[in-house]
Amino acid sequence: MTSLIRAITHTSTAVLFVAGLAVAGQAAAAELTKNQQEGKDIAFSKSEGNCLACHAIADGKLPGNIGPMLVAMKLRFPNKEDLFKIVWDPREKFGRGVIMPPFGDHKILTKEQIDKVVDYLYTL
Amino acid sequence: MKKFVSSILIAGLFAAGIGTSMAASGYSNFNPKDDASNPAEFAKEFRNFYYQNFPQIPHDKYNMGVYAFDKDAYSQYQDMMQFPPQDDFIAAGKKLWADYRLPNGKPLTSCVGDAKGLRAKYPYFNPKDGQVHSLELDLINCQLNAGVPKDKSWGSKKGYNDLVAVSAYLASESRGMKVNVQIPNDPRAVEAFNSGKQMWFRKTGQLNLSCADCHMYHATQRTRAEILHTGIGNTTAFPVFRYSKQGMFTLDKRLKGCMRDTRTIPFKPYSTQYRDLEYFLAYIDNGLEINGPGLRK
Repeated sequence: MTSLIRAITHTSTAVLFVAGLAVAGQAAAAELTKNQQEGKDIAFSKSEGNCLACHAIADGKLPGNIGPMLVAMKLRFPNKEDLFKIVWDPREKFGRGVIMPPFGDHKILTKEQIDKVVDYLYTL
Repeated sequence: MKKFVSSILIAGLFAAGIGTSMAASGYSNFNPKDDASNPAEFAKEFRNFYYQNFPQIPHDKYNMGVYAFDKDAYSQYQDMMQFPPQDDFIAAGKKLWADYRLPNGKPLTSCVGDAKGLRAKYPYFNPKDGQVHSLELDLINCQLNAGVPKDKSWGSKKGYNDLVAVSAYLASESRGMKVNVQIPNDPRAVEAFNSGKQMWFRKTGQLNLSCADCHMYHATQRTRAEILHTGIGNTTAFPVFRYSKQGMFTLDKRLKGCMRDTRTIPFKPYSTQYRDLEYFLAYIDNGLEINGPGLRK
């Protein structure tokens, strides 16, 4: 199941998922807690998380297509700490050649900010 | 939750016909022999990476950047080129080139030679000082060597507008000529090439990005709405008018901007590091047509 999700999230054309994103967008719309909403703001901000530069996210306009789309995160990362670690320093899991910036290790975001972002990602 | 996920999966499968386009890391790997004493071989391996992964881009169109492979960007480009914003710079540069006199009363031709084909001779390795020279740096050095004070020269912030106008004019006088950068049989020249190569591949800055991360391993993909161009054809169109900034950019200034965007403290303008990178990139571009001054986003 997870490998199937991985396969789908790695397809290059985000357009294919418009339908899926629309569903996710509706589901995610109203229910964010304060922390999750702050996490979303950080994730969407160009000068902070800027996740949309590379990842498609429900509700995000003009996403890049370099990274896998951020969807079904709870299912893909049953252990929340695994997700936190990737945002903190993706090199540990993916090797030092990975293009994703080490948000925690390079102090792009604080630990508190990454916690909020992970809270938000878990709603996707 | 499960129901929600599977609804997405079904929607995705329905629309996609899964397995047709797995591209995220689908490029064939870049595993060069990487013989540090043989730039020609490395350049070949470097170019072949692109030729193999992007057969949709004709070899001689690489000097068009993203306009060589993205139709929407190209049509936007064509609209802009109805009234090329570069033309004003070329005209101003032409006039400056004709009127400007060094303190000794001589024109710039006395220092660097005639305008026709001058841009095509750069960048080059100068055995006298063992360094790579770029066109703009040589123009500034002409002034400094003739006694123009640094803050009055084209190397100053104020002088930049004149510098880039002349650079645009000189590029226009080399249009249609082929890039032909030589690496002479001199260990310092090979070292300059290798240092430029390292600039390209080295991860840098708070964002931990290398040039290659975006423009090699993820070329033709998108960051937000921006399409990532490739590693070939980066030098031919410079200086370029950037319509997002509404200004003319020398290659040196553009590379400095790239570096700043990785959140590194950039090197000073005209540093050897930029010139080495320019040398590397221009050597990769050998055989492509010079098409400056260009127009880019």
